[in-house]
Amino acid sequence: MGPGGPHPELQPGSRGGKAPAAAPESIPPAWLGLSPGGGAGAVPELRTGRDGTGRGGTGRGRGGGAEGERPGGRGTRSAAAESEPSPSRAAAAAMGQIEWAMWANEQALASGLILITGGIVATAAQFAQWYFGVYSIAAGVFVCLLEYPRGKRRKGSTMERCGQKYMTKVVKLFGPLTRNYYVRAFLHLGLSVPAGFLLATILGTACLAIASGIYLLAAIRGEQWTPIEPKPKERPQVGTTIKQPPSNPPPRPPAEARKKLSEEESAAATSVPSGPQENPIPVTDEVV
Amino acid sequence: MGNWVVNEGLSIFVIAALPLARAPAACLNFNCMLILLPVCRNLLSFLRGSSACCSTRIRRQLDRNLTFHKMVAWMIALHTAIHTIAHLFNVEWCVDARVNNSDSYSIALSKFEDKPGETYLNFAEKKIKNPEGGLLVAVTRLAGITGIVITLCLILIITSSTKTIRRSYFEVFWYTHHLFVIFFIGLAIHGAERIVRGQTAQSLIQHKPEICWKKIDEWGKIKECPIPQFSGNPPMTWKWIVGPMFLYLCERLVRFWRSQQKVVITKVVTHPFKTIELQMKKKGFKMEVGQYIFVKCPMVSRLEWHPFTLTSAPEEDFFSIHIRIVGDWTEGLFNACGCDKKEFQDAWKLPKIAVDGPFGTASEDVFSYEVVMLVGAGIGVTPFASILKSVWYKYCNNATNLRLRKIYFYWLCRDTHAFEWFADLLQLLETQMQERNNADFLSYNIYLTGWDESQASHFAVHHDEEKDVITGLKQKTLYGRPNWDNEFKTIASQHPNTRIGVFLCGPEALAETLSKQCISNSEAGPRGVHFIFNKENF
Repeated sequence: MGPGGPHPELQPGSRGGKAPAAAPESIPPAWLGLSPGGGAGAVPELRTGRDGTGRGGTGRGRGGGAEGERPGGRGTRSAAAESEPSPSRAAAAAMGQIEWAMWANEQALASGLILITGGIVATAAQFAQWYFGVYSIAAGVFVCLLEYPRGKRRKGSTMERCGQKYMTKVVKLFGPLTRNYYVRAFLHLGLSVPAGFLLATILGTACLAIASGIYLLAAIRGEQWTPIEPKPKERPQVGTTIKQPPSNPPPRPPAEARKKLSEEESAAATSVPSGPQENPIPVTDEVV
Repeated sequence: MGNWVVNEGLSIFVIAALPLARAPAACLNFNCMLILLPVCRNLLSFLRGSSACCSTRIRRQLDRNLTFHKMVAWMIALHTAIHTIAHLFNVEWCVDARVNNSDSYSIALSKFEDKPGETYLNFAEKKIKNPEGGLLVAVTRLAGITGIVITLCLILIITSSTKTIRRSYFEVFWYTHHLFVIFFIGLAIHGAERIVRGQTAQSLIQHKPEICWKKIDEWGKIKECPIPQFSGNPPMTWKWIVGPMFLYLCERLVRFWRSQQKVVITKVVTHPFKTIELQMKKKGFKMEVGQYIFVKCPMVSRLEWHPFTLTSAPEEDFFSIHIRIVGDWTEGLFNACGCDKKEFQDAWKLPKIAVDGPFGTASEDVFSYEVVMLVGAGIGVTPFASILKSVWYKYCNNATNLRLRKIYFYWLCRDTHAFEWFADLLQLLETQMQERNNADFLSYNIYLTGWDESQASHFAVHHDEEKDVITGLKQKTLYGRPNWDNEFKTIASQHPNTRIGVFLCGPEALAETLSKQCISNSEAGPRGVHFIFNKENF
């Protein structure tokens, strides 16, 4: 970090003969107010015009690094567990708005599958009180069907599950019963209880109960299930961009001029092959 | 159920269920060992960077670490399912034997208890019948409790790791994933009670099951069938997982230590269309082209780390990242850096930043080819900013030593917003190349894939102008998607007998297309043109 004063990087040839940036567009750079003559470590050769031409910077010496002495610098940083990053590279996804219902949906779907599996094991092996296993299969199938259509996210686009539009129609039919997440939370809680009587299905109970809890959280935060409707395809209407066909004939010179022209043309046609079209009347191009 | 395999005590009366539980347990040992290794980012980066280890081709496989992690995770899920189902059978049958609801052999074997002269075989202690008996075993024995708890953790981890959740609500994914700590601890102690028991070797010599199974009533009374003795196997899992757990712990410590190093923001630049550039310095920071770093700004969020590709070249004495403002964290950073204010910001007001990295990806290999094709889709062009700058510096410093002779650069964009800061860079390079009479070194093609009618008419009118109306570059912007087949064939014909590196940063579909094109346009023999495909993983 260079102190103030002469900055070698601003002089041409300082970096082994590279020419400084050819100042491109003279668009006023929207950079942060950086005073000229500062510049810690900027290499002007590749500083392009829009981004501030490489001048300035926090050239008062230590730049932003003096936080240790600044209030609120070190103290607030706790040695807490680090968090891993967001998925996208140069942009962070909208982190603050978590829609719990999306996770509850995944969890409930998984619980449905686990209920079905546990139920099949209990029924096929004829464990004691295996009729609970039969219930578990039925409950699992119901939960899977209910949870298969993914709801629409409030922000951003939602990926549909494969083939979910059929179930979407059915689930939509029940209106508020399926839209409201309180109903779903208590429904799942209720469904999970009978499966808790068998060891084979108790895992399904636990998972569905957790899903129910997450749905409750989603409901408290006011989330709702909205179906993903297919967007009506906008076909570009060819006809609409064409305005009404012209109602007047194209402009022509008056009758005498036309006669003269046709004589000239026939004379010209015999002598010279037609080159580029010579418009008898000058035509202006009115495209923008 | 009455069949038996020779020596395992329990398998005498629970036939296939015990081996069916043991086998996935063995697989689980192996998989749980493997799953921690691909996420030790620093270790992998170190291995990848050290040329001592293996050839470049092998080291490139390290780029697919996340794919490997996911595959192993699915295997763990599968084996957990088999293991659980098998033990469901075991528990059911053991409890049945305890309450005398089974064949006489099993019942006789269940009678043994832990008292002088005897050891127990059947771990179901209380005489409570199924299903309550089974439930009781599950919640009172250590293996049962740990089994249920860690399976629940596994299920929660899996449901929060689906693509939808991961891409949209990363925090849910990240925090829930930390349940793996409970998973591993539970896994290590899962077998500590040793309730799965078999006949001891010594007892097998004295009491041979194949003879004595017919003489149940005479056990302990005749010489050839003394009371059989049983013991449980010591838990083995911890031996498999303790190594990787230690490595991962070291990895987290390294990340933490690196994040504590002081990072100074030397310049903040705002670009049009909600992009800012942060230029920073950190002592001892060394980067290669196309690498990425994780950035944390405690003023915005104490726990969040976000990855950004480095857009500066290694030859520069600072490092920079370009950040698009799209979410809470980036907006917070925007405000913390004072970008919303017009006046000059004092240096000390800039927020403190923690940086972890840099971590390497495939772009480092760019310089080992003579000819490269760089393809960036949308924001995926960012690593190439670093590459182009670095190429430029190398070219200026010592053109003869540079192995790279020709760059074909393709930038696919949906709309014009993404062009701005990068277009400036290209323009600069264009000018510089011309000055040095080497306009052919870099040939770039920009494709606008999301044009509509109004834009099209605008372009059509300005077609004849010297500079492109969108980018201001001499090279005109092209519309629609590139015809890759043509491109590859043209390049192949211009550079016969060379290895051409193809580098992509973009969506999966494009990766597949390019990969196929690389394969179909490469010649079969060792001589001839070869396209080698490298994909960035983000």
